[in-house]
Amino acid sequence: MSCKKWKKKLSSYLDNEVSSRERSKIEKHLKSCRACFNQFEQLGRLHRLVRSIPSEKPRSGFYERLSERLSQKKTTLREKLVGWRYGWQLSFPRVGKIAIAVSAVLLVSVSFYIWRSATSYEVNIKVFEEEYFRSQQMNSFVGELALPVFFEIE
Amino acid sequence: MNPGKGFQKVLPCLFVLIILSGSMTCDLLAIEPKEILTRSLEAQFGLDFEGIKKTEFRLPRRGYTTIRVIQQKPDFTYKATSAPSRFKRLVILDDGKFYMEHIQGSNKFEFFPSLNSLEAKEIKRKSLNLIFINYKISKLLDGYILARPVYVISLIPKHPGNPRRKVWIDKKTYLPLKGEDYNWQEKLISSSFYTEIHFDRRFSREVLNRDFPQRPRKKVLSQERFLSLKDLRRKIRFPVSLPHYLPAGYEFQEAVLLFEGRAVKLTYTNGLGVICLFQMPSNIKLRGYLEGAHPLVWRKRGKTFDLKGDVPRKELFKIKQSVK
Repeated sequence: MSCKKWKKKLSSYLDNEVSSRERSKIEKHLKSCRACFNQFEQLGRLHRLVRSIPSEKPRSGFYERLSERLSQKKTTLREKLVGWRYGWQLSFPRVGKIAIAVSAVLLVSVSFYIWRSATSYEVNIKVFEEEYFRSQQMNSFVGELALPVFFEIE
Repeated sequence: MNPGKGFQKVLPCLFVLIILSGSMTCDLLAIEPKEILTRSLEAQFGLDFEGIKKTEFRLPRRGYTTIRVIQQKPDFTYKATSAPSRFKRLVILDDGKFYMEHIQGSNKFEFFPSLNSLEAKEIKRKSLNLIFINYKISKLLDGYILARPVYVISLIPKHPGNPRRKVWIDKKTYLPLKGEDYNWQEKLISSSFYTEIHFDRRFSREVLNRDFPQRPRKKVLSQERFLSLKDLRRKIRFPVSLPHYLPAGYEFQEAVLLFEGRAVKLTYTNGLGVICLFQMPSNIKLRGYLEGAHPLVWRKRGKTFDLKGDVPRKELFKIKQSVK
């Protein structure tokens, strides 16, 4: 194991959060590696310093009041967004996220295509002329005009 | 007193009396022109016949068509163009449910609401009633068409600035055998007449259906017809504008939905003359429209309008101004 990895475990070692087997391995490495030992010394000093700071106890009923205030607090938009993002990261696997993103892109593209086709509908002005003559067929004594032919006569 | 002399004096008076009573009986037996037109309208749906009809167009372009017409009562019509040769392929078939147009050898195959349906017949009857109101109907001297005696009826508009028509109606069957249409300027627009006609000919519908593709595509109606203004407002996707001015004698006939409800055609008639107001949202492109080249095509409040009618231009502009 490299020194970098041993150094990461030093803090846990000081807090007694490592197994006995790992503990003996760390001690063995500290005896053999000067650089890691120096880091361990520094961390130890810092550890002792933090422990020496006297801790103040909160006033009575502080935690009850705090929990009450937290429950009353309205969540801001930023907090909501962070929450969603956190939820999104947790609740979907990577493949699922890709599938959702692809679906969203497809949905937008299809919507755009439909909108384009709906708005770009085209009508030839001649159709209105043809339709006008079609309406004349509704009169009582017309019927055999075969109108489409009429419009092709030049 | 000589009884022979008295008889000689009475004889001329008796002769005059016989002539007078004879002519009065003829007048009483003579059929009214309105009755002829009513019977003629019914005859168009109540006969079996096959004929060749030629239509000559004078305005706006000159041309002609020759069509084979087969009518089978009560609601079946078959028409096929036979001339000019380049238009031979058009076939029209109306079975009382659909009015179908097909150009043989092409993909053009369209379905429209039938012009032989009960609704269409009702509209034609209403338009005939409007003719009775708005036209002076007179019977001219009888004539002959294809060696058949015919009534000649003239329809003259009571209000000037409207089209007129002359129609030759077969005395035996009441089928119109010839018609001439004149525009409001008294110019002949078109005349159509049978060059051949055979009554009581029956054809099997299957035989006539052969001209159509065996497996036509899904029956999608190209338009929805015979709508009232109330029906139209329920079906249309945009607010409809109506003309608040119409020339004397004109009434609303029907509303038609075009292009799957994208556009509307409002039809007004006085019995013979037709005025159509087309409208659709402006986002639909109008191909072939040149700004300023079509004074009766205009855009207003997000809609494109097109107004057509065989009435003086002054009247059309008045209608245009009144569209709200």
